[in-house]
Amino acid sequence: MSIKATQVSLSRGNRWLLNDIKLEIECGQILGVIGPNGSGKTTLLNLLAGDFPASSGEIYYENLLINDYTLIDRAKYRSVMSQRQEIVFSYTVKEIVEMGIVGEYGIYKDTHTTDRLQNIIELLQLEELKDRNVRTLSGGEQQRVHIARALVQIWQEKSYPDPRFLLLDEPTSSLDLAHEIQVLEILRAEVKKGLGVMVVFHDLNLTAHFADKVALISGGKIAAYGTPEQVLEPEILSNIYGLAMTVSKKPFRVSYF
Amino acid sequence: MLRWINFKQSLTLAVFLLFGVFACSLGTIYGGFDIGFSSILSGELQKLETEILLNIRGPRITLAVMVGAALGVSGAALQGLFRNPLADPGLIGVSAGAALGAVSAIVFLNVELLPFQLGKYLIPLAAILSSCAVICLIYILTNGFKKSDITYVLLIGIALNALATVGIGLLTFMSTDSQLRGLTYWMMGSFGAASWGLLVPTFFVVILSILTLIFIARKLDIMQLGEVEAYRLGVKVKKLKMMVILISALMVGISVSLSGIIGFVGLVVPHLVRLIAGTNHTYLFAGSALLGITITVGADLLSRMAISPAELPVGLATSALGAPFFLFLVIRLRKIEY
Repeated sequence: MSIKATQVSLSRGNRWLLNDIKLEIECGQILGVIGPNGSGKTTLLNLLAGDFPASSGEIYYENLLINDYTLIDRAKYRSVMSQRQEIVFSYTVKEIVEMGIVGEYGIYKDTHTTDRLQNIIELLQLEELKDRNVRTLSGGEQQRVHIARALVQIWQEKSYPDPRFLLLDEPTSSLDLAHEIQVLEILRAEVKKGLGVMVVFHDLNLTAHFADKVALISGGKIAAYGTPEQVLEPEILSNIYGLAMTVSKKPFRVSYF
Repeated sequence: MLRWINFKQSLTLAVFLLFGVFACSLGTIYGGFDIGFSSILSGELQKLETEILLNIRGPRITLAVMVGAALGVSGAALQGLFRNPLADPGLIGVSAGAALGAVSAIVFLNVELLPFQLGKYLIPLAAILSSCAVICLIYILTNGFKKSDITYVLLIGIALNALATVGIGLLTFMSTDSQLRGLTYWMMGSFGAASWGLLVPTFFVVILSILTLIFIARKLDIMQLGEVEAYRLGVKVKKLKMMVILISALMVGISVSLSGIIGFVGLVVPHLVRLIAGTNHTYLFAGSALLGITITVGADLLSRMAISPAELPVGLATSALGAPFFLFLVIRLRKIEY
């Protein structure tokens, strides 16, 4: 039960954006993706989401090629949250979260999606913001709204009998410390229920704390892939980030000054 | 089962519907020749009154209803699709295309001299054909809407708009005095020239278009997250773009062909509807149709009454009402935003 990339490469013109990427997002795990700016983390996330085809190599959802799925089936299987979203018109928070409901395009919506909606709004403490205009919220509040929207798309109440995945691009970049930890704890709880998660992390210490597996990307290639202990090694990190770093194991921390 | 429309929105729609019915009733009764409401209800009409109702007021108000609904809904749809509050049906070049067709017909064909009342049908027909030509050009130039960036479509529309305006300018320059009078009136818009023969097909096109748009309204809501996000949420974005543009263009092309250019309705009405009870497109389409109807029928009545027995061009009335209102809206919105 996984999203899998096998020797995936992507080129634009004669530039290789991604080269020979091989990784797997498994159910019940958080895969943390780290790397310097412009290393290809977001491109990799977009590629795994199915936004555009790879130049070579294949992406599998379970054991089927991504192209064998209809758009709706893909949307029910994995949900994606980008770094930024700009809403032009004055939708309410509730309406934005509702947009995560897949496939119900008719004039009616059914009650069980309404329940799911309410659960997630409570989970992310958006109850008080529910009827506010999303454009008047702070950056951090908006980010929580979009996390909620991404969760609604694939959320299951008790456990995940069918595989479901969440791909997040720096989901906590605008959140204050308390909300950052809260959101990541929520993700970890969902992962315990069987959800598979990939998070592009900016903060190496959050990666150390929350990721089950880590992929370090540099120049469009995987520089290191494994458990946080294997990847977050001072030599590897110093080499890639060009900054002297030390790593202490107890507590697991990366320090760079 | 809960609807995507909430209670406040349902209430607003009901009020809009009342407004619409009220405007249509007033439009039927009043004009150069007033008809008593009681005599319509009791059916005791004189021959002249029946004649006016069936062949003058009836088609006139039906056309105003069609144009108002078409402009309001297509404005809402295009603003949603382009995620741009300034988009309106005029912007994608379809209105200007229709105008170019109509003006060509007025200048090149001597419409008054044609047999079998052909002239009455020829101008709208030419307008429909040339607005269709604009739609085809947009389609070809955007490679069947395959260009991923929606701004590109908008820029193509603006360019076509400018080209059509040049054509209209040239024809205006070439026209004789009487033709000039005809085309100036056409450009300012009027519901007076309506006849049932052309109204019936228009009616079906507009109704079908609005129903289709309401049916895909939810997808336009999801499009507000951005094209990529909508695609990830299972929306076939290219197909949606093509549908919305084609439907809007067809609806606007056909109705503008019959009425001439009616300014500001497509731009202002959706904003007003949003301001009152929310942004989601299911409500927005229904609301824009109803409010659009109220405004065009109302403006038509105003244009008939203002300098009776002469008539003001209705396009002038909608712009005269729309522009100050738009100004008010912009200032008010700025206060809310900041």
